[in-house]
Amino acid sequence: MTRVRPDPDRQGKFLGEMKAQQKSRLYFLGLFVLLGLVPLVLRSEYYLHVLIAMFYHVIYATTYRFILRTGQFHFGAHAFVGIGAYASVLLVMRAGWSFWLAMPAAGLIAAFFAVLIGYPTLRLKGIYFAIITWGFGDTLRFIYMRFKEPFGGPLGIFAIPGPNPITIPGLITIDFSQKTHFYFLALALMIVTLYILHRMEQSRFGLIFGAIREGDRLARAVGINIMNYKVLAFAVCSGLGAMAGSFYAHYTYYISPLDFSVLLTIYLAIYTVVGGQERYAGVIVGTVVLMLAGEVFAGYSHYQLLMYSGFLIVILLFLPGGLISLPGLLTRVGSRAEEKEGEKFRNDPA
Amino acid sequence: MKARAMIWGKILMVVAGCLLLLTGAPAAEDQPKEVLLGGITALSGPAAPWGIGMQNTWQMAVDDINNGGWWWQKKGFTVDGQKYNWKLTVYDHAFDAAKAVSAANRLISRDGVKYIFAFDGGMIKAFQPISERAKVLTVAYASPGKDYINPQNFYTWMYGVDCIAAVIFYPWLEKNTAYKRIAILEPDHWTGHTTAEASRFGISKTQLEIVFDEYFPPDTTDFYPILTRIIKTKPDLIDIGNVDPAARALFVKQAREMGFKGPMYLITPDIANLKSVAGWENCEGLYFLPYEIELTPGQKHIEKVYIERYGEENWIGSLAYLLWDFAFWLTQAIEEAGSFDTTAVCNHLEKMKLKSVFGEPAYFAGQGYYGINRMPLYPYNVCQVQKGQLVQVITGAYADYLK
Amino acid sequence: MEITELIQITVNAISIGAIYALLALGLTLLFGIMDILFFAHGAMYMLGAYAAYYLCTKLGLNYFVALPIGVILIGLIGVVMEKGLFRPIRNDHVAIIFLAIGLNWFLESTGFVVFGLRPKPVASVFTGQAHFFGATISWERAVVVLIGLLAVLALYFFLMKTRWGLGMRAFAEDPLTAELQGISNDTVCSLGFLIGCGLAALAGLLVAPIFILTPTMGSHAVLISLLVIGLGGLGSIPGALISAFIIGIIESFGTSYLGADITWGMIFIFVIIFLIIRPTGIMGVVRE
Repeated sequence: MTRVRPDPDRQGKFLGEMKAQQKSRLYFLGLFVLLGLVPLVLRSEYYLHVLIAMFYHVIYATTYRFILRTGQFHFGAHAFVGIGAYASVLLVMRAGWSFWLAMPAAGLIAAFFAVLIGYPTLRLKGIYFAIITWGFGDTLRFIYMRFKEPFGGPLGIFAIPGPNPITIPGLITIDFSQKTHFYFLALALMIVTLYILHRMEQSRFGLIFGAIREGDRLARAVGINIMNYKVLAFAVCSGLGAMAGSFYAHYTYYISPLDFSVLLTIYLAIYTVVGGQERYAGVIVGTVVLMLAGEVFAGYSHYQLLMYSGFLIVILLFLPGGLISLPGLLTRVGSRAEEKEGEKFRNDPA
Repeated sequence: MKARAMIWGKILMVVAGCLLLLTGAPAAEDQPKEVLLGGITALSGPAAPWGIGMQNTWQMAVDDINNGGWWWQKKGFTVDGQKYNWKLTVYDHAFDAAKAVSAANRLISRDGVKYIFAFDGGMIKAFQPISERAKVLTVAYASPGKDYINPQNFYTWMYGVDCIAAVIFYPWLEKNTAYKRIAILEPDHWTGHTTAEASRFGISKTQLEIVFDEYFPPDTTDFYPILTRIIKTKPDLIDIGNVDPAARALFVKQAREMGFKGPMYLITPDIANLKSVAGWENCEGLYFLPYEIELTPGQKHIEKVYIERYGEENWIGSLAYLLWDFAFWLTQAIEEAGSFDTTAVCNHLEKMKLKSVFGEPAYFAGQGYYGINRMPLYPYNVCQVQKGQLVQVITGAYADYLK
Repeated sequence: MEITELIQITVNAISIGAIYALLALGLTLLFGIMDILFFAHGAMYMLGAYAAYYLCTKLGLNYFVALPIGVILIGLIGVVMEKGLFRPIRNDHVAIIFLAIGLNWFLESTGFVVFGLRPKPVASVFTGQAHFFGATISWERAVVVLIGLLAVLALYFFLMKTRWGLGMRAFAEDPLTAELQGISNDTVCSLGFLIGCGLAALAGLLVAPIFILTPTMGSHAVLISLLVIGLGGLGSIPGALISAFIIGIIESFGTSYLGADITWGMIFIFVIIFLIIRPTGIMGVVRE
């Protein structure tokens, strides 16, 4: 039943494409430098907010995609983001930790939960895993709701302090009183996350996940312990997502169980598919494009959801490679071979 | 020649300029400038019927101010000799704190809004750090909670919300009826919890007994199991104060099916919904807070215009009256303070004598409860469905404990 | 007194269970036959309920005339969707899930635009209540329970006893072999969507007079159905029936004895733990 699906990441190991990769790495570097300069030009707090929201959504979405790439249909990203937010807030507000300790700790806690949930369930294919992760998310919401102490109940936790100020003596003090400071923190978090995940995808790890995707049995036969790798990927991605959740909590000052509903995961799924899950940059493109487009319908959530889901349907039917494959398709439009390749893509089983 | 031509040219220009000033300037002065008034409410999700009603009401109030309707006898308002008009911009938060924060950022940082009308305490608490820091005057339509109305939040104001009427209703109930056992049921979200709190506070002033006090998941549609549990406690009255419009109608219907014949207590009733879903005969004995039969001229005006514009089926009842006044008070305060500066406006609002569609006197109170005067007080009315007719049972009461 | 209460709670449990079973039926069928987790089931259910509103309240049709019209109409919408949207990507299971998710939320948000934001009621057909042993149930609920159980039985017999059902089961077993045996995959898929969406619409039409209609009702329903069919074992019709009643019993007894705010969380915890211990659900088999 399963035919081997062509995998651009793996094909990218050829020398010619290695160069292209280096080139795209350069593009990314340039992009990050540009993003770093943005606050010098852009004074509007609103646009900074849009960018900050985009940054942590990029983290959510790339980690979400990575789990999808291990061949698991993840439906509980909101659970781990929520763990990150609540854990970090409680560590800061109750245990008196510094934010800079609490954020990684929140990531570790989420990773721990990911292992706990992942170990028994990652062996399950697709839907069961989806149901369990989704149910886990809603169970957590239930716990946040019911236990007023320490989770704040349905009213949530408010007056969350921002990150502790950093002072570099004689140079500057970053006290997170301005959006610009949050902007740089979010940007740094995003770059670190993207880098970690990129390294993972380029390493032996990524190869193994290619194998896992192409057929569990095959990889198992070769002697790879899939479970460990899957759990590891699940834990790392959940942990990174949770750190972004921790950032979100300290950035918005207020969290409630309502914030971590399954709708978040659905949005992430839409970003991933619209951008194109085959390529690493796809999900980033998807998140950025959709979030910008979403701002147009800012006031009306159901129009926003209408546009997002409409986008999703159109992409799935007409552009299975996602937005990221669009330039490629346009430049190679003459080549029939490529078209056939695309056709094969579409008809192949997952 | 050349120099002369230039001088003539200059003179011509000056004359033209003067002419322009003479003819154009008054026209420009007459042309009112637009000032943005922000709104953040739920335009989608289970509370959307309320949210849309709010948007409609705010729009009507703004139009009345701009066009000199109702008691606002002039077109627009004037600050420092310049005429202004309001322009309303409403964003949706769909009960998602992140969306509420985004909406607040959009209004405050992008659109430069200085005044925001907003719905639901949870959402307001989410963006309050932003609005307070930017000194944006925020008016909350939400249950009264000390956690967001307090002296630290100088710029946050309240609509005269109805759940405080519990403090009028329950003492009245104790005095005038034989009811003893009260069951409180609220949805499991911010508004539900704070409303239940207000009811508990009202009941604590009396000898009435709370026999049931619980919350249900907001998306519940089947109330049979909960009703089984409630009816077991044999309540005389069920308080479903702030249950969402769709759910409360179902609740009333199912409660009657399960054989509960006693009265229920609802605030801001969505009468149209109740009639069509629960059936009017099932509404017998329900207390509506606050609901008016003997409408004041202001309320008549609102009802008439609302139904003309948005249709009978979308009429939201007393919610429209509650949300009406503040736009006028705010405009009056800006005009009288002679400035858009929110600190000055806040200080002026505190001292103002208010004109309310609920009647007079109306004024801001709350010092005793919140430590700051942020909640408008005006006379409250309560009515009950008796033999298919709405009968006003309490007229013109004040929630005095707030002073 | 105690015993009447117990009967009442049991009656409530049966009524909840029957509604959940009805909801989950189409979803589990599509999963069982075509291995599709059809999220848009929720939207179909919502459309069914609105069909009741438009046919009965707006056009003034008799409810029993509206019932088959609505079911067939939405079943046909399902067939159109299958032919137009799902057939091109039939073999890509991940894409199909995403497509179904997209469709569900697309139809839901379109619902807001088309049907309006205010909740809509549908007038009751059966009024009054039935009483037995001191317990109360409204007639309209009793009818839903009855029709719900009949639908489950009818579907079961259709799959087990008819040639069409045999064909569908053969397809579920192995599409390629079924094709070789002369069972057209395309026909089976269309039929699956016709029945699946029809059942969703039936659920919607039936509960419309009991509940209140909002465009979001579908998403809530599909998530509950997901829980039901997960617990029952994906793709298993008897499993869905049993688990619907188990959840109904937990919900009814839990709410009546412990409170509504605790119960829904307990259901989640129960299902999760059950699935972690026994991932196949009550009746299902794990598919590779």
